Amino acid sequence: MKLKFILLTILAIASIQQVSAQKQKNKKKSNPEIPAPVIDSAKWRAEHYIINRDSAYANPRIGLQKLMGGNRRFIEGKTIRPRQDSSMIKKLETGQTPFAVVISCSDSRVPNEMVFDQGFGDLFIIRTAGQVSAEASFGSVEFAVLKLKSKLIVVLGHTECGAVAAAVDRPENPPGHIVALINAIKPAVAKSSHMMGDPVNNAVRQNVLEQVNVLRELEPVLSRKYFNGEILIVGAVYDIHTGKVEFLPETLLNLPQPNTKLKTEEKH
Amino acid sequence: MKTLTKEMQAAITPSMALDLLKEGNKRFVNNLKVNRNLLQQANETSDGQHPFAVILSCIDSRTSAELIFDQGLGDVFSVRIAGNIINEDILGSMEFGCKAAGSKIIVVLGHTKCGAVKGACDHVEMGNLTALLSKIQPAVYDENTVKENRNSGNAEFVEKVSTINVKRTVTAIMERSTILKEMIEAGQIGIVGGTHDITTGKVTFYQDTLIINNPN
Repeated sequence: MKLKFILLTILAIASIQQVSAQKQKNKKKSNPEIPAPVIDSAKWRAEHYIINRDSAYANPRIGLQKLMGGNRRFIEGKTIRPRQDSSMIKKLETGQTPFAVVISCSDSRVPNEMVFDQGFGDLFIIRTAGQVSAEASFGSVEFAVLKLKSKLIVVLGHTECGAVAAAVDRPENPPGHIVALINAIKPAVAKSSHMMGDPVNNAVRQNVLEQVNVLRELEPVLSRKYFNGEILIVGAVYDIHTGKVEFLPETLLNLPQPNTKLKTEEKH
Repeated sequence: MKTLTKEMQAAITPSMALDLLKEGNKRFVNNLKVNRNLLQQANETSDGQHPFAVILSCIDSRTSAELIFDQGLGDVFSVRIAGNIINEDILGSMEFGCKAAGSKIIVVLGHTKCGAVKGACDHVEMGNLTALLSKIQPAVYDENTVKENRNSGNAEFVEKVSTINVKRTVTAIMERSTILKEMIEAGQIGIVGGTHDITTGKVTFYQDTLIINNPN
């Protein structure tokens, strides 16, 4: 019985290979001048850290891998700039399924799609200076989670952030509404003031941690979904010198597990 | 396309900034995007940013300002919030983008089929969305030409509300931010509203919202 099964699987694999080989042959026949695209190869996919978009949308942990892979492409100078053509938006006319929500800074040096090497339909992006959030930002995240079913939320700060620097400097007469940003970031500055090293970059990191915690505790939608393990909320810092995104280990530890896992455990 | 330096930024006028955006959108629509070395741009901007435009746009994953205007790293100070509304933190961000970072033009960019505008048209109330949508609500009431089917199912109504919402935001920026108003009046920066058609990628600017004063 076992032997039969093994034989059958071997046969099945062999026939699949035959079919795909034939398909490739056909492709070559139809386009004799154009060489077969290398982007189909498993080797190319591995070298460019390609992760399936649908899997990333379905599972936030895979989504996180996809973002990390995209940033690796960026810092290694081998971006593929996927889904960035105008033809792509026509395909997305009927709707979007972004696999991640990114809350980041307005700074012109942190274009999220570029530093994560993603395209249209991939990232739902909220940007304010110092990624300071108020009701409108919270409502925007809830919209993505409830309506678009995004499961991964990333708070992305960046080194040498101007808004954070303003909160560290505390100028006597900050112009206009910039004081709203300073007040929002000030608690993070206070908490990190005792640390060694660069005060601005320490505050940037602390600010991200604070913002992650605010979202994890936010009623009525995010806190429930986060503690049920339905969504992930993590923090990261982008280094404007190296281009590298560092996901903060503090925000990757002790994450609530999805309920489905609990159910399978109960069965045993 | 070179990465913007402080000198290059200083040489750009508000009307030149608007032209740069128009040209970029044309390139995007025609699939003639400039090939940039992004890593090199990251390196060149690591000592400071010198963007030429502040773009207030929506969070929608199909409306990336950098992509639809074909801009690189360091070019656009990008503020993104659902329904491109105004808040203290949004105003602060825009003021930072102009006063501290030296941008030359503010663009308030709506887009077609906006989910937030649709939500406001349906008077959705849910969690923190309620506070957000209440900021779009005045545009729904301002729209008085559509008499029937005043809901998200009526595309014509949604787009009319979206246009009013953009124009209201442009006015609100002038009314609520003294810094930006003074910079606009002095001709240091310009302001304009527009909409991005998410089916074609094309951006249309509303001429009646455009303010670019002569710096003299």
